[in-house]
Amino acid sequence: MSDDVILSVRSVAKQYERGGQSVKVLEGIDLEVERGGYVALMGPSGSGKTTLLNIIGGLDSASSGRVIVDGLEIGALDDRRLAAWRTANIGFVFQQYNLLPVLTAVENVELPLLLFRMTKEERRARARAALVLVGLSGREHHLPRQLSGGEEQRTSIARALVTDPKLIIADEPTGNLDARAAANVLDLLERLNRELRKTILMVTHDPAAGRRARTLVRLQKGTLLPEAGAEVTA
Amino acid sequence: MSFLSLILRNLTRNRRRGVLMASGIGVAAFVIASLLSVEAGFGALIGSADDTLLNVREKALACPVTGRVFDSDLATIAGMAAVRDATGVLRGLYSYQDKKNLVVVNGVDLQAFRGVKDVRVLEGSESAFTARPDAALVGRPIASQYGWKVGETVSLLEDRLRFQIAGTFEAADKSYETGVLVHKEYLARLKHDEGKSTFLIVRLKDPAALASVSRAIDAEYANHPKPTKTQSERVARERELQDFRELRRMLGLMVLAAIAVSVFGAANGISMSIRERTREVGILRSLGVRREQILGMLISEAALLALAGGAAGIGLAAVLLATGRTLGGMIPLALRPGALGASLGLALLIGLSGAVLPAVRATRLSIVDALKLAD
Repeated sequence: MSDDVILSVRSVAKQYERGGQSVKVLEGIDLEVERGGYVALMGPSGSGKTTLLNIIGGLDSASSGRVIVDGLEIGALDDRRLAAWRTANIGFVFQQYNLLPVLTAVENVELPLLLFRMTKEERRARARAALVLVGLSGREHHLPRQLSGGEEQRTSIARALVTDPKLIIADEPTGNLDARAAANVLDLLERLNRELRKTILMVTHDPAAGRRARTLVRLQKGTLLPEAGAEVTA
Repeated sequence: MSFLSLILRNLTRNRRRGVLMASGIGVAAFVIASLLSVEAGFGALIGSADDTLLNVREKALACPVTGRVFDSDLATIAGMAAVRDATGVLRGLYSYQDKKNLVVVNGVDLQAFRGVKDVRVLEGSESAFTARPDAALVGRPIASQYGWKVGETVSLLEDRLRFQIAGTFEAADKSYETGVLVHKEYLARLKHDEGKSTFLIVRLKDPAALASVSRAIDAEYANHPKPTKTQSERVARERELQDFRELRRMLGLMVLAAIAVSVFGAANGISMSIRERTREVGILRSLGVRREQILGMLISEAALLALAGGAAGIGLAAVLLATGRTLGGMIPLALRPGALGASLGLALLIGLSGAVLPAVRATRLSIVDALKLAD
């Protein structure tokens, strides 16, 4: 694997046992993403996009195959080490934002930093800086219910950024937003990729969102289809 | 921000439910602390009984206060070879200012009484007691309870008994400290009980003679209008407290049944509050917080809620026990360390019983499944 490749997915398959029957969700997935890449993963509902994203992010495990992130095969990690690896290496952005309702915006952003050895002043400073970066400097003490959907999603992006992860994984980040808020979030992701060289892997239904990525990959019935002109080897 | 502040935020996120859950646990802790303290009061009373003492009471005793024994054979008993001292106590139960404030008044011949019970005068003087027929020595706890001062005249039961406080006392036998000592002749005159006692107390030279002396005393009184039953003071006191204990047991059972409902409600509330947050458990795990850390947070949250409710219930019990001081004017009441520990332990147990299973379930669920759950 070249040093420029941050993510390598090799022959990954995923199947579930449901009602005594084996259901194949992913089959023979091979994918490589370069450091600083911005990849959009598109496909119809049930094509396995989110499952693939969850496997890459260490939230789920593959039935077979290997996922290597920055040289580390994550399938070999036990539960405890996988949790620590997730904290340090992956920033998640979810469709539902997944903020804790009892914490303010800055506290939600600060949350993953509790797992690092740092002073509370340092934690708070980094969380504030992340909120400034996503354009929410005036909203840091607002609870999620006091924020608009777009602001909640930007808070969740700040939380994903605050640990300076190697890979940002975004699952339908604009799925719950109106057109204007969605455009703002996509602008932000694009800026993070372009200016801060953040590697982003995004699942989306929205063709407009897909077009913002530098690479487009399509999944169909659990199998990856290469997009013409894609920078990704599949 | 810290995990502790997250725990505290979660505790207060649904205040009404939090207060209800804590109240349920508080009621349980209150009842258990109160019942165990009353039980400990019984234990203290029985524990302070002296094994070298005999208690002589009317055989056909219906009530520990109304029974009577004639003093006529006291000299005969005192003359028995195995007996060191013997005296009679005439007991009356009077209310003070309010019907529920019961005061035990013991009529004694102080000098003879000292032969069987260790009494030490604190404030005031013994000579002042000896000098006045209507003088009284009041136990330190009851003096403190009613704010009685030396030299003060106290009237009980619509002035049916009036005495002037000559001093306060403490006694090795704590059952006397919650009452008043007056001259036996004075009380007997007021009660028209001259020559009678509620019970006799006999101190033995040798505790081994307990059975033989008991038989001899009962034989002495066999042909009297009021035959006696003689037994060790410890056994007599247990019998005296039997009615209280029965009442406490019945009351305890009823109250325990009632609190079982509130305990179930509290445990169920805690369980529900965790189940509702399974999705948040998934969020925390997706951020890298480990299962055992989340389990610790959920259980700490339940434990804090339980301890807060328990502390409130125990605090209330302590206040009420301190205000009541005695049960029926006899059983000393105070929050005992054992009762405090047991009721706090129970509160914790209720909290944990509601938390452990749903917390384990929530943290065992896969992150993906947890995140799929609706808020």
